[in-house]
Amino acid sequence: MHIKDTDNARIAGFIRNRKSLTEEQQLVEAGKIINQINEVDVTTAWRNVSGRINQPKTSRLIFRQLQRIAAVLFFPVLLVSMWSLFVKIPEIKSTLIAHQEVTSPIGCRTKVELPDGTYAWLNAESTIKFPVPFIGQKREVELMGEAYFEVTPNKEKPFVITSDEAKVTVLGTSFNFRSYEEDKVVEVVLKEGAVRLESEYNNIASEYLMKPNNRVVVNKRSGELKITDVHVDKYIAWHKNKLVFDESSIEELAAKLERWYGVEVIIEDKNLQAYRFSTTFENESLQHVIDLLELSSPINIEYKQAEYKPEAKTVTKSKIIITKR
Amino acid sequence: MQIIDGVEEGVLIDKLIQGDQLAFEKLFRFYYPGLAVYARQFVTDAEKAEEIVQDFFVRFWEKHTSLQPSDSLKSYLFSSVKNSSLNVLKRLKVEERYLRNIQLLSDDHLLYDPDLYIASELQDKIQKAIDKLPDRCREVFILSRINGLKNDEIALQLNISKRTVETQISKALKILKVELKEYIGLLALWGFINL
Repeated sequence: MHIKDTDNARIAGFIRNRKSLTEEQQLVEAGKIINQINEVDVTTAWRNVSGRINQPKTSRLIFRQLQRIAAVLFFPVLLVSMWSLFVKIPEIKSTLIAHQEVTSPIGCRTKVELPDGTYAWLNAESTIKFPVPFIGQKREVELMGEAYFEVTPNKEKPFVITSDEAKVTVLGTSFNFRSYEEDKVVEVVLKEGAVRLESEYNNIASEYLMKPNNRVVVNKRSGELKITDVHVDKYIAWHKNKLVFDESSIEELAAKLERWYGVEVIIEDKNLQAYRFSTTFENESLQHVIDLLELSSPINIEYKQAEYKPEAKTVTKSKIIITKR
Repeated sequence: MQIIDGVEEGVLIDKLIQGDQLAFEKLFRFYYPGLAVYARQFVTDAEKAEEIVQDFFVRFWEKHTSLQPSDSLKSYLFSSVKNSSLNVLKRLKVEERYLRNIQLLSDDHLLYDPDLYIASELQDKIQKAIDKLPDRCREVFILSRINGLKNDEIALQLNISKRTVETQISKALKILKVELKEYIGLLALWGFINL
């Protein structure tokens, strides 16, 4: 009864107050609201919510399994524990291993710090998967897509990246690894340190010990390795939010823009095949990139904003259409 | 269309439908603070308001696969939080007439406009409006409303009369009211600190 009365009184007072605000007072009130918004602790809130959306399923599952196991084990456990009163049993170490997966969606680049202090920058549409806790003889991760790694040195525990049928083993170093599913090749570019690249495509197993500035491209069809020396910066600039085109074909340009900005690129003119694009953008908006490309290359670019299709209840991607000028 | 962290909201929604938690987190971080304060306008209690919005986001995640890509996430989020808040009031056995009243209030009162709660859009508009003020006027206004100086302190600092300070402030407010009339609420400048 008490609770009901105080709630009612509070709400009634609140409504009266809101209704009687003059225009000036409303503005002050709006100012307070904005201050309150700035003070909300979104990080704590996210921790709560992400904890709730990730935890319940597994813990409930584990609990149910434990119940079952407990029922089956109860009698033997009883025997064992009686036995252990007399005989000492060696300690059993067991660890539950789960996997953590981090994905960088289209149009985004994401920096991930692994539990060993290694940094991995994930390019758009890339996923990294690693065990939690991050223990074992080796530090093993799986990669789909493209990532730049700065691996924390640890001679005892090699860092191993597996992607498709290629594997890179490192002790501590920086390098770029690219292997999108639709790519015809796997590409590894080494900035510093040393890494061993192993691959097995087309039943051909290869192994190569890479040195700084090496770029190794593995052909997924033939299993062939191609090794060149390159300027590394061009291959890793993306992790510093630089979009680099260096003698890039129109297809490469289109593919990069699609991932970088989450748009659809349509090339309407076959005559552009021979043209090469060379330019670098740093933290630019899509509109600015379009303007600069039009200025510097013989092309016209039309931008079509994303559309809402009411009949299908879907939103299309924004499109950019490239034609020859 | 809303841009969040440099990504179009529609792209994030598509990713969310596919179960991408990172996209969900981006949407959460963008909308949560505003929604939490919005819910406070119904339940008048900060803690309860955050609880309501967190519960809502957990449900929102649980049904992410059945979401329809839509161009009005903002209105969906705000009306969902409003309904949840009203339900909580019902559960607290708040009298029907008060519920009706607060519902009416929320339909047309300025302080319930969702745009007031999406900080980025708002701050942007305010910043632009302030940038447009004449130099002297802007200077006085910022010292007064943002740095919180008293009129005579401003007069002393800028070596002008107190009367001039007052006229510059009221001039600034007049201009801003016109610039920001679509969001009248914005004249938040009273309490605004993050500029």
